[in-house]
Amino acid sequence: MNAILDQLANGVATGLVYALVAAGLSLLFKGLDTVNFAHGEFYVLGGVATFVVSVQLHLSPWLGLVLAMAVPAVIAIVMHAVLGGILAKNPLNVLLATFAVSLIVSNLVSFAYAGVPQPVPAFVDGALTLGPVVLTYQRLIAAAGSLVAVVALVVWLRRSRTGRSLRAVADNREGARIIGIDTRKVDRIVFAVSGVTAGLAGGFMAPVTQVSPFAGLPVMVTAFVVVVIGGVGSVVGALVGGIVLGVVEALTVALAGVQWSPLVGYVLLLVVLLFRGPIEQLLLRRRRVIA
Amino acid sequence: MSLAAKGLVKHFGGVRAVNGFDISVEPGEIVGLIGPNGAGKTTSFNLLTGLVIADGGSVRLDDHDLTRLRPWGRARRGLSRTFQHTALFPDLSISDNLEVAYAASRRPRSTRAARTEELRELLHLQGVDGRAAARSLPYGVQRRVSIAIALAGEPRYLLLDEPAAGLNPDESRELSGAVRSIAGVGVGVILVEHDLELVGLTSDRVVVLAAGATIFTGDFADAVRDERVIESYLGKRFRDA
Amino acid sequence: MRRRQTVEGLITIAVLVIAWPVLSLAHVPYVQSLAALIAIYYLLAVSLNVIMGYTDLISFGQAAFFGVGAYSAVLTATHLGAGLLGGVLVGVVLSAVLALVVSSVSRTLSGVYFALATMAAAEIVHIVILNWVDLTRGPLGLSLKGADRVLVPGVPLSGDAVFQLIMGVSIVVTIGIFLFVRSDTGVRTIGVRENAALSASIGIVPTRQRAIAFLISGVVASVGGALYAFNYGILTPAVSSLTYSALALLMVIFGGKGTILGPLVGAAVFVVLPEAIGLQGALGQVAFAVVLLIVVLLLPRGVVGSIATHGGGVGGAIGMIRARTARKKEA
Repeated sequence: MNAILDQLANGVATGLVYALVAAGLSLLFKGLDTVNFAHGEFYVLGGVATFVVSVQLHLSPWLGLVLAMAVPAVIAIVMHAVLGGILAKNPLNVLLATFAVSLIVSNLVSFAYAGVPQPVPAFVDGALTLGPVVLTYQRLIAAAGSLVAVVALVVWLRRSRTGRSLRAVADNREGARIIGIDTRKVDRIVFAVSGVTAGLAGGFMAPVTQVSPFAGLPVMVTAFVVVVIGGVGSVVGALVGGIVLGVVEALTVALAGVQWSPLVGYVLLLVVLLFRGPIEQLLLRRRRVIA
Repeated sequence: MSLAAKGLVKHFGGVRAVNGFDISVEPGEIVGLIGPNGAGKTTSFNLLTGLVIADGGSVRLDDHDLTRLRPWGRARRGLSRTFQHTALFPDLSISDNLEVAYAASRRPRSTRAARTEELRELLHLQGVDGRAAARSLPYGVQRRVSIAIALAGEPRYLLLDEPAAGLNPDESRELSGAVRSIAGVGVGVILVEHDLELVGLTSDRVVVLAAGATIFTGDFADAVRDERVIESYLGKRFRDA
Repeated sequence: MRRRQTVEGLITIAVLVIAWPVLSLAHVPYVQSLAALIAIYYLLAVSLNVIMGYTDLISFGQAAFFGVGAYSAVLTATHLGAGLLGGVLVGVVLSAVLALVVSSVSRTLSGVYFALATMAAAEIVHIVILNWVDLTRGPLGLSLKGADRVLVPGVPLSGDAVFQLIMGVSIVVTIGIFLFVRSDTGVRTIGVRENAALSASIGIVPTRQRAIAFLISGVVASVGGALYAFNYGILTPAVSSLTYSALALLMVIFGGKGTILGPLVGAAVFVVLPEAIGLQGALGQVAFAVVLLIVVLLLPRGVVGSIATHGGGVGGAIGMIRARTARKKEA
């Protein structure tokens, strides 16, 4: 029981980070109707940035977070510039192109660090102990930081003008264009936001999981699972989905062992994708008919 | 022997889009389906073709109950349709377009060339190069090719979805002639159209749809004088005018 | 469409039919082993080509069929002594079931969602192979004992014999695909790819056509995996990993999806080039990925596809540039 409580607490913490990574992907999917396979690489690059700043440059890891947000954002903007052309034509080609980018980035990182996962010291050492639950301060920082970032994102989307433009484009692209919103600029911003959020999450988690060059695709699939669970385009949904996934993974580890935990995301994805339709149908049928 | 829909009903979420749609057509007959915008013509059409499955009512083709069947099941039993936005296999040649249709209806290979000739004659496609990519053809020709595709499998009933949209008056008249020829070989045709003149010219009979329900069925000449029909198109003010 | 297919089909078969005896008689082991790998990768590419070229779907999971085929072959041969034939049979049945399950999912999923579902399914297979240590020995992998390397019990397979089999199977598969594409079933499948809604309205059942394509795809990849296992005699879970799915994608897109010659060109390039340039490991992968990116951006029809549409040589290149500028003006 104690072990399960501990796992659960850590699962929620991890889930909040998932939510942050997924939020950007969710917006991207809704706005551009396609998925960025290289999204996970933003996360990895965030970790790399933190590593470079804190281990190789011996500066404050908090500074590393700034770089963790900036570098992926720049790469995201470049990606949008290059891929923007084929985006409109064929979403499936975008999948392949971003898949290629993902392979390029992950292998370059692997080459740069000779393929070995890199350890990064925690921002704050030590852990919080609450009865059976042990949460390292780094995990707490990651979880809290992710929650704050997600909330900030929601507020920004609702209050700021850019945020509202983003939602307008996601809701109705043609309509937004007609009323004068620069959709290309909005797309660029969405890409950048997805880079910033995933990079930040990677920066937070670098001390927890080490920087691993090939973590990108699994992270991307995890984010995709969260997006599908929480609903495409909903940041709040990403929060819910992230926590759900984090908890289910934690329970799997507690009950079945850690080697099966990568399976959870994939199985949950298939389950949600397959049963989302019938579940929606069931819910719709309950509603009363208005003649 | 007929294609008949009785009492079709469909709701989406809380809205009842179709609420009592009746229509029937016999082999060789041309029935026009008309009605004001928002009457539910598109949904009704989709209920007939199986793109949407009805919540109530029935669709019968001769002896077969089509009500629960998806589009391919209905096509296999002799119901065919065209699409409002001309549906072709755009990157394939016309010959290949028809090949797909023949493969779909499992037509014996030895009869395909003859059928192609029949279709060319029926739809005035004699001069068109069979090897040209479908997307490269003029719009009017594409329209006729898409009707040919729908007819390739020798359906008993054909549903035409706004076939005159985008055609000029000459082409519309040609289309009317083609539809009459198609009915002439024994196909039952339902024609959904906004162009009332074309409907009057081509149909043997019309069905008027308003607010998701059939409100009139009979001669076109009678339809335009019917109170309820006028009211549905122009509102109460003009009914008694 | 027909004439181009016939030309391509004949060229592909000709290449294989000529290469076979030439390689067998030349007795240059290095070249022969390279050819064997090309042929095996060709089968993997063909399996993906059936899906990407003839249906409207993308699969990121070919490695699952490949891995299942390979592991089935070795496990059946080792534990049941049934030899290659028995192993192929078991692998094919398992892959067929997997293919039907995956393709049935396509009814409710489209495009992007389906692509990710294939990736998820393939990774599940990979993780199971990796972790079911009792059956597969996990990361340690399996090896085929000399005594088990038989076609059927009592018919031993020398390395050379395996090579003959690989070449023979490649030719048979090529002919099979050629016939499929020209058959009514193939035409119906292509119809679904070109316009699913129209196809449905003329009596084609989209999920059935996709299922057939997936079935063929799974079987071909599975056979490829089995031949791979018998060719090298050793196996690790890596054969079911994303790397092989990615390789399949690379070969098909580079060569040209929907063409008959494309997968062979793709396989040849991606076996020979790393050997020639000597780029291994991470940088090699970077090179591959860069090529994929360039092809997706500039040559979406692949090498063979572009030649087929615009013709080869300088004239073809000019034709392609003209077409692209025309499309840009339209947009």
